[in-house]
Amino acid sequence: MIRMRTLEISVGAFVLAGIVGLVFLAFRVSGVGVGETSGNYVLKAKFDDVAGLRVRSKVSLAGVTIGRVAKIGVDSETAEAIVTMEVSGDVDNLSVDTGARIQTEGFLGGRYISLVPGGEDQLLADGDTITNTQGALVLENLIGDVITKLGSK
Amino acid sequence: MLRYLRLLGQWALDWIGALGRASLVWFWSLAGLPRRGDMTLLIKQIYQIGVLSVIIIVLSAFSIGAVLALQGYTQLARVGAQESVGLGVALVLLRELGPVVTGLLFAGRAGSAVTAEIGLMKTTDQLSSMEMMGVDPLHRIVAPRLWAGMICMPLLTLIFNAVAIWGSGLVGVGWLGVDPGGFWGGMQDGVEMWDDIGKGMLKSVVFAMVISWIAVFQGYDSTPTAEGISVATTKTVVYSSVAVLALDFILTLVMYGEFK
Amino acid sequence: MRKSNILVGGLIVLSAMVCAASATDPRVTIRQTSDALVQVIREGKTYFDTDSNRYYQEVERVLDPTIDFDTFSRGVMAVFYKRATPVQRDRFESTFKTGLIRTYAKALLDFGDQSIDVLPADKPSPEPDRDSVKMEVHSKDGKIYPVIYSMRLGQDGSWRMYNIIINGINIGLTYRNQFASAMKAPENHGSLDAVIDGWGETIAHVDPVTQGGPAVTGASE
Repeated sequence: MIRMRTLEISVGAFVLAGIVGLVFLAFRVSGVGVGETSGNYVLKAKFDDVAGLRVRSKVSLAGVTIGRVAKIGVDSETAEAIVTMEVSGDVDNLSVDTGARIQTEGFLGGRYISLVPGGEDQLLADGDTITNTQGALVLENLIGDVITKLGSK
Repeated sequence: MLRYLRLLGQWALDWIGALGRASLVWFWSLAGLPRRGDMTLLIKQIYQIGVLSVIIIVLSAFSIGAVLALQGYTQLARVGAQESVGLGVALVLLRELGPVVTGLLFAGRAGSAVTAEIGLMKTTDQLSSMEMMGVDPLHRIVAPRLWAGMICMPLLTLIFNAVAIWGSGLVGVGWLGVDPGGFWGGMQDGVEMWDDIGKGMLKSVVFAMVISWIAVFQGYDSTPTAEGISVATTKTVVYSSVAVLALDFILTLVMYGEFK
Repeated sequence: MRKSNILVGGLIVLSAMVCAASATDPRVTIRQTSDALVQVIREGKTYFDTDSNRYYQEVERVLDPTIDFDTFSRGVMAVFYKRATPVQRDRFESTFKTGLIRTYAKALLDFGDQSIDVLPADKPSPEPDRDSVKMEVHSKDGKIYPVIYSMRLGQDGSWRMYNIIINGINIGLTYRNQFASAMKAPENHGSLDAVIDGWGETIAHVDPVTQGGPAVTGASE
């Protein structure tokens, strides 16, 4: 018969293993906690088509993830999608004419928002809306056409 | 003709009666305030049910994770999308295989052990002796096993998922050469805390309750003979497995289905 | 004392009314420009083969007051605007202007004299000095091409366009990416002057009007 003490320790270890598993799943597998610090601010963007974009899709600048999509809503009056993004506080020098494009990650990849900085002096503040946008889908056609054109040169 | 109908009716009534008894067992085991010594009983059961199951869970998890990575890689490589193998394997495990396989293994190993144990106590009159001494067997024998089952299975599912995903990582990144950034990054981008991990855990909690309930009841309700115990343990494994798979289908529909 | 008060008050009210009347609706500006353009295109079709330059000049004449090339070209240069000298900025603005007019004047010859609908505003613009105007071009074969103009109100009270979105493609953003790619291209060695000189070549590869996304037809896709 196993002693009570050994028993208790092994049960404790078992529960601990479960918790470690949970932590591993939460942080290494689901990416919770990546880039979630205070000091983040909110930016909105209006698109004509956000097909495939999901909440928690990434927002990137020059290929670096600087934020996440927090909410996707709709403005029924103008038939536009309103995407609310949470952007890292480190990136605080985006001009008001910054562009937001919806792009696709790799082959099977999901959609993400790519920010393209502009040339105006005035900067975007917390809560501002980006109007210089490029929605999803159409870009694939354009790229295809450009490639065809370059190929036929 | 009428004979068969009568048999059918008899069978249905038997089944409903069993369900009723099972519900009573469930209710009376869990009712009542905890008493001194309950914690000790619980810890002992967590050890028997949980700790002793860890080995089979870990071994199975690692194998399944590795196999998924291997098969997934082969198929995805045909279209050049092998970096997505991390995401694919993680989603399959977290949403489906983790809770279901853990449930099946748990029912087979821990569930049948519990049923056999309680059945044996019934056969050797330990349960009736307890009642005569004024000790409530439901409280001392059944309840700790019920609670232990409900606590252990979700924990085992977590361990299963973690080990399986880690195993798939070993095979995918370590052996097959998938780019670690793509493997883990793709996984992190695509796996959601609530949508995937949370709902999977919810499934495992539901499975835990059902399996524990079936295991405990089959033992308590068994015919007090050697043959009766063997019938009971078989029933536990069969009923639990069917219940897990059926519930999985229903829960998946409810959680992830899109009704047109 | 009282009489002069009434006089001043009356003047203030009067000037406010005049201001309100002269604050133009950007849709009106677009409509007027489109009508003028249609005229130019119709005539242009007759003499384009012999004297294309005259056509381009006519188009420029009509578009000049309506397009804010300063803001437009600045948006295309984007981050590189700050690095550019005033000389380079002006050079690009005129190169950009020529390029834009040439590209779209050509396309307008095929499409421009089709029926155009300037759509009414969905809702008032959240900002007083910015607005977007939606237009629909009906081509000969029944397709409808949506065009959106991003307009801003200048100091002089007139609305001018600083970006176009044709058929869902944000032209300004597309050009911005082209410019950035050109700056990174090895043959340009990161030189602003080289990119400005080569701008005509760069935009020859982008012709969204005829090759952009699928046109939005009247029925569902």
